[in-house]
Amino acid sequence: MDYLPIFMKLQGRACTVISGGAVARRKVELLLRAGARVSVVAPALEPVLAGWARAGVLEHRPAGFTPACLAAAAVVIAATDDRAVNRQAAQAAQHRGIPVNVVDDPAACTFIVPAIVDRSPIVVAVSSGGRAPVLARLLRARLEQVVSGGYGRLAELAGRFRSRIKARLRDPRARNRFWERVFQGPVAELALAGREREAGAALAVELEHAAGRAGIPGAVWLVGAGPGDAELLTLRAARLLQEADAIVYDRLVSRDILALARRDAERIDVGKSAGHATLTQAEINALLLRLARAGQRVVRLKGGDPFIFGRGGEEQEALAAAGIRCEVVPGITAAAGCAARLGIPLTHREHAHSVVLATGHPSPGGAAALPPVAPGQTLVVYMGMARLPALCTGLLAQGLSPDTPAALIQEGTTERERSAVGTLATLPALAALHAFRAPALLIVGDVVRFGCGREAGSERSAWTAPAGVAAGVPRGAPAEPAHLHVAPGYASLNDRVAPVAGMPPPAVSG
Amino acid sequence: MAGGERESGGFGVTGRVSIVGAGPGDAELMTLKALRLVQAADAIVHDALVSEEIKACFPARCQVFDVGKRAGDAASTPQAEINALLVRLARQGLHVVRLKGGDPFVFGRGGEEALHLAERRIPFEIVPGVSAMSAAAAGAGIPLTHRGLSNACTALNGFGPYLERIRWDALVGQGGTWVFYMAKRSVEAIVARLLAHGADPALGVAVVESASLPGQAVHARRLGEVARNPLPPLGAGPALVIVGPSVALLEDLNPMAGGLHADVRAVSGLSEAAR
Repeated sequence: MDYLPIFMKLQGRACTVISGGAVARRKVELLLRAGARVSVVAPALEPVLAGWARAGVLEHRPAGFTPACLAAAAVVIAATDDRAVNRQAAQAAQHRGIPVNVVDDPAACTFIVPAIVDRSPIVVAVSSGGRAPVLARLLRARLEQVVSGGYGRLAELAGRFRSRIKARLRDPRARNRFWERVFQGPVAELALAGREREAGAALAVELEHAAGRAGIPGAVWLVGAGPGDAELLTLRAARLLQEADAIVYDRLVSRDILALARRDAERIDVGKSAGHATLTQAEINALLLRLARAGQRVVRLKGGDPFIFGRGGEEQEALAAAGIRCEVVPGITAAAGCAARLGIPLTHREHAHSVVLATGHPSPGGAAALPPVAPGQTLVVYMGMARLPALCTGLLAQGLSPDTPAALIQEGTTERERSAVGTLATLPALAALHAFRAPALLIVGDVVRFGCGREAGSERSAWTAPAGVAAGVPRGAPAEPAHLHVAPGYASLNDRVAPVAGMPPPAVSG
Repeated sequence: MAGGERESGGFGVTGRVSIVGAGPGDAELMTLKALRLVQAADAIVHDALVSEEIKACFPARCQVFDVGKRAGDAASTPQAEINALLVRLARQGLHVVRLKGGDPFVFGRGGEEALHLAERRIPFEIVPGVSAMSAAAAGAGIPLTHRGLSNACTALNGFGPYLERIRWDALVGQGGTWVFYMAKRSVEAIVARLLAHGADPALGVAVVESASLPGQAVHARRLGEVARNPLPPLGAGPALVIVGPSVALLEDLNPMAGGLHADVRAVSGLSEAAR
């Protein structure tokens, strides 16, 4: 930034313009609009300036420039067509510490005059730092369309209510929210449409409403953030993130998602990641209560869906017991997100009449981790990475065939997504060989062999590449081949086995 | 987006199909991606489960095909015709959005459509959506899994003929929460079969109709009470049946279901009800 834009108060202050020509007239006009007392130093004035001088709007000093002309001036503008005179004036002004502008001579200026959109009290100034004044003017023309005259009326209206609102809404946060709502809602629309009286009435109603709400304690939204990809957030989740005062989030919530949150919202990480101090569930519950009781609008953001292995029920119970308002916003659970990425339908008319969502995490009582799986069921195991071999062995012990197709997907839908497809017999070794890590999801069942949605080179979409689709659909065939996918970086379906950087290629049988 | 150029470049004149979950009905429960795809679509082929509010987001210049299927509805379009329509539109070079209620891969038959497209080498992608069970659970205040109560959740097809395929003994043995989709006309049959196969009569059963939509209604009983005190008749919306130990939490949690979008009076009513 070459110049700092500032807005200068000139009401009633003396300003000197040197030159009585047409260019000088435009500068005089600006100064007059800002309420300055203008003296024009020039042997002769062009007709409009002369008229203003006769009417007493400005003072005319019919002489050539001398440094004495600058006495007591707040601002000096030199606009003669004599470069030497302009420079002399600039030097004299600088010597006295008076801000000076010389028309068409940036080097001699201590300030420049921007292109202006005047919707007083809203004023927009645009400058190119003297490099491209025409471009600045074009930008101004565009801004004039965007910032219609109505914005001036809206700001005027807001100004009239300002002290009243400050008195009624004492919490600065509440005031901030109030103004955000006013400037984006019906009040603004009325003011912009020129219906100022109605806008004023609507603003008064909004104020009563807001003041009535001010005593109500905060609230908590338990929000599902979906499987990882920020685009899989619901519109409601995205809106609530924009409205939240505080966001309490898990390890499973990605940076991209947090980037959608309001900039000045407080962010609290309660994530459970290895090696870092984390909060217990009881501590999280207490934190939510404390924030809500302080009047905050709290978004409790959880990976996936709050009510599917999200422990949302426990938080909701704690909030309900304390009488805190709470709403659950469902999200896409990891099973659906990962299944979509791998093209594996969780249910299928012929092959899977139901889907079981289970956890690989041993329950507190130490009960058997996985429920018995019936034929024709798809099993999805959350949080099973740490015990993958034991889980697969357990399923074999239940009587499932070692050839049962099984897929593992790590950090599904994110940029770091990796997946491997094999069988109950082969998957644990495949996962160990390629160092799969939590968080990962296990999908077991006949539907795994339908997996056909594949990357076409883009890291964000799961477009199938036509050339390889036939090879990619081992329909009805025993699902022997082990497939490994690492996103991004594999190109076609013909190449379903992509090498992992720095690792030996996976064993492919069949 | 750079990806867009690559996609059209890579696939030449062939169009493509996005099989997209529209979520449970409330337009705000669509994903950011679903909205983006819908608004850029050349053609949209949608279900009966896609709500009016969502249809209002369709772009004006886009071709719209309603292939709505309702249980037992003669006016519905057979799956084979839907498959053929998707292929025909894509071969015209269009970007087709196949919009389905809920999630395409949870009772959405998205797998069949994906396979049909794959076999014809038409590029497609699957975009997941919020499944009806998540919306019903959130709306009713029933956690589908809950520490100490339910550590698994099974989603089943509850539409009449499909009940025959369910291995009820195995299901009861699995425990956890059972969610029956499309179960509107099977509530009594489901309850009877569960009890006949040894389910605990003290388990809660909840019917959630029109989850996430303005007409949302929740009715709950204990399994053993349904015979004496039948669940009330349902309206026109789709319904889900949730059975399991965590349904009992409804008594504590359901008062919250009125939601924060309600106005001040309703909210104060809520906190009283929470007592």
